[in-house]
Amino acid sequence: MSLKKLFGLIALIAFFSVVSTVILQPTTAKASLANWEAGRIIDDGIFVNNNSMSAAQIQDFLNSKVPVCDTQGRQTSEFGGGTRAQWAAARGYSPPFTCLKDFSENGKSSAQIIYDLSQEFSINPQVLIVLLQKEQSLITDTWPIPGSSQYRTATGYGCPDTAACDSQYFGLTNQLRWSARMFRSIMNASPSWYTPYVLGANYIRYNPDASCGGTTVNIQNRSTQALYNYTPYQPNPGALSSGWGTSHCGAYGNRNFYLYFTDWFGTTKTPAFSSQPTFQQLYSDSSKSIPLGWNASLAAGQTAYATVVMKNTGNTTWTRSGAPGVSDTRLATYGPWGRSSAICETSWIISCTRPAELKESSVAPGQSGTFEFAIRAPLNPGEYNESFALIVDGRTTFNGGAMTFSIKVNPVTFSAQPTWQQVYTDSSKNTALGWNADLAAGQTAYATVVMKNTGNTTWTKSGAFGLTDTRLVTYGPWGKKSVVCDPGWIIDCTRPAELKESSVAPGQSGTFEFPIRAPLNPGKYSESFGLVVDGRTTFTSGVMTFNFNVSPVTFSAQPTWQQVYTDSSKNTALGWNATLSPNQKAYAEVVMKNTGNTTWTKSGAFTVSDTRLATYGPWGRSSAICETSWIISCTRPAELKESSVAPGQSGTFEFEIKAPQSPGTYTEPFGLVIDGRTVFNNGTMAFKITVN
Amino acid sequence: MKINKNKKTPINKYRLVIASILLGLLLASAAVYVSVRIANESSDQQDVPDEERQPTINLNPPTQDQIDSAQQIKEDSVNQSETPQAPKEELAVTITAKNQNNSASTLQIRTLISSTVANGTCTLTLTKGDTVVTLNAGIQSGPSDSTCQGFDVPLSQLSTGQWSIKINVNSGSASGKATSEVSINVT
Repeated sequence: MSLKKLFGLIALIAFFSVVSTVILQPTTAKASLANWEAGRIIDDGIFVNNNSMSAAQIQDFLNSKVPVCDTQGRQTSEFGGGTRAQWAAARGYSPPFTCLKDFSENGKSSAQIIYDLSQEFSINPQVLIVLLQKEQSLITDTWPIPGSSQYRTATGYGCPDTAACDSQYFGLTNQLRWSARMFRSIMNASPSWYTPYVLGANYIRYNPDASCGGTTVNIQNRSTQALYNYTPYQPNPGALSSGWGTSHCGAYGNRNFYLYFTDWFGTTKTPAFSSQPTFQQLYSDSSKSIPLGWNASLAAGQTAYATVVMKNTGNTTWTRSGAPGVSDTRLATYGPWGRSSAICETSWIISCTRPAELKESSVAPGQSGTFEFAIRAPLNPGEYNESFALIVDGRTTFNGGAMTFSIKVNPVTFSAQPTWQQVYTDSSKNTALGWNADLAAGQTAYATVVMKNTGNTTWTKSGAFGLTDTRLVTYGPWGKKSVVCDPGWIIDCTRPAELKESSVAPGQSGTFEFPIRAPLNPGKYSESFGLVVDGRTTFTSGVMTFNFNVSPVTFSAQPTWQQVYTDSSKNTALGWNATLSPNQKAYAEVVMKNTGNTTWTKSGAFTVSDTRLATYGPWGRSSAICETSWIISCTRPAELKESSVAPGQSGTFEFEIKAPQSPGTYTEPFGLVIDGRTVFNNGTMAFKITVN
Repeated sequence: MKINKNKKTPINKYRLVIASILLGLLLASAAVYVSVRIANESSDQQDVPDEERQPTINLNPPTQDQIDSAQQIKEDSVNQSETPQAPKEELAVTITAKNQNNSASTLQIRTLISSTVANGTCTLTLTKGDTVVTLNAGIQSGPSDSTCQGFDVPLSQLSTGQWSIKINVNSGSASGKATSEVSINVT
């Protein structure tokens, strides 16, 4: 090929390629009506998505649509008549022309007004933006006229054809509020808000002129119903085929809504199943009163309680039927789907892949559903990112809506700080003895210890030997046999008590209650206690000490009352020195005040403080007025009537007597005794019985 | 020969330079074409079902189509007369829905009054042979139209068969009416 021919060929190719490039390059990107559905202009999930834009994003959007505002109207009017200012002046208006991006009302920017109302009525702010554009062109207008109907009736609300526009609807805020309120009323199917159309079959005209005709449209959702309530006409085939243009008998409100929305904000259709996370939280307790945050720090093995809230941004109602129904929605592990979770807990509904099902019985599009489940931190310290998303098992995974818990797992620490300790004389804990208690030898008392959980692990009381079951243990050294041990302790003389509460989270306080018995040998005793998780660890801190001053036992009494009655109901008193007939039966009562330092008891057995009335002079003498009902032969007429009599209180002894057969005067002394231990060193009394 | 060679050499160099420029132009054009097609294909979602499109926020300036469409709305709005239009004597009424709702056991009848009227009365008359059912309701105005505050007719008041529907709307001196028919099947 000669150089000349080569040159010609290259020139030819270059010419056609330049021409074809220019011809084939689209001049403008056309918005599409290919997916237009008259009965489904926009889905509810998008219509009510009030989280689609922040106020700042709305402001950015308004700025982008009007790069330069012709505030003074100096440019040539698109409508003729000179400059824009001159065109407006001919109609009674004058600059400044305030673009929507710069407009404010009552000190609030237009972007903020749009955002606030979208939140108040839970309507997508993008819907309100498109409404302002399709009704008054306010979004793109570079010289909107504030005094005109453009702002005054910005959404075209409240302008009757047969009267002047109603001033109660005037103003940007007011107009948007009325529109958003109407949309919300229709979305809520408010019984007091009537609309020309219903869900289902409707005859919708093409134009206000009835002769233009119309068709039956199956309105599929409330948001489409709401749009037809605003503009009650559908675009005819001519309007649909002309893009942004016009056609004979056309109406363009809903078509333009669709065109603007899809061009500016994307699809108007939601997937059947999609979700948007709106809330997630971890709590240390199942009642969810102590939040741990989103990115929680947990101790290895710690149980926590998660709540996830997802907004239904699809067009299908989520359900919880309890069976794998076609819309039963569950939270599933994600990244990848069905991954076995490292924070799995035994209560998860399906192995370690489905932590929870929907809490509510159903969640409609636009509503929010809740998923609650327990998690258990891994035993290996480290950082764990656990992602979850929604699934309808057997049908589909959700489009979007994954969320992640970032969990930092710390090594386990068990530590405590004593915050309260007390010793009481009684199990009901009415009478406190203080921290450093004075006790009589052998006296039973009741201790309470409160410890604050200063570690990172929740203490538990499972009743078994769980990994976090926390007990009070003797200390100095750990597990020594305590000298104040009582049979009520949970493990011989080393574990006085388990946790009173079922669980105590970090930062909370746990209680330990247990009885103690003072040693029989008088003296000073210090008894220290700490905490232990048996089989796992002792606590690194939190030791406390009780100091006891044990006094020698003194058993003494003072008689305060004695009487002889003829009858067991004690209606007829015979006095102290009674006169009886031979073999006459009578009923005696003796009251003694406890002047010792030891509580008298009546256990029914021979405990170390069980107190009885005994014959005296000498002790254990066989009494002449003995009756068969005496508790031990003729030497122990009665045991204590009360179950216990503390020092300073009085105890009662009641018993039957029988007068001897032989006439005469009988002096019968009695005192108190604790069988097997001691006789009282004072407190004797005597009945003087005269037998006729 | 030398002379000829000497004469041809500048011409060949000149042609080579031109050919190089054309070749560069060719390659540049091809590159532009390919990039434009790729860009168009990536942004062209016309064949993608709506449900699969991703939400977005378009921060580009408005297109000329949008500007043209908006200007017409603005001109109409600003030119709109501040004086009320003369009261309409005839109201255009359309029966938009006449659905038997078995779950609610009602016949739903809805109307569109193509004027925004603030108050008035709607009268629904259902007729089948000698049987006449009449209901009254108020009028509720919407943003740009009105509707009757009804009607949900209990099916218990109707019987199976073809019923004629007549709706009369009166608002002050204005009035309008619409008629239709509905087939009722009461089980």
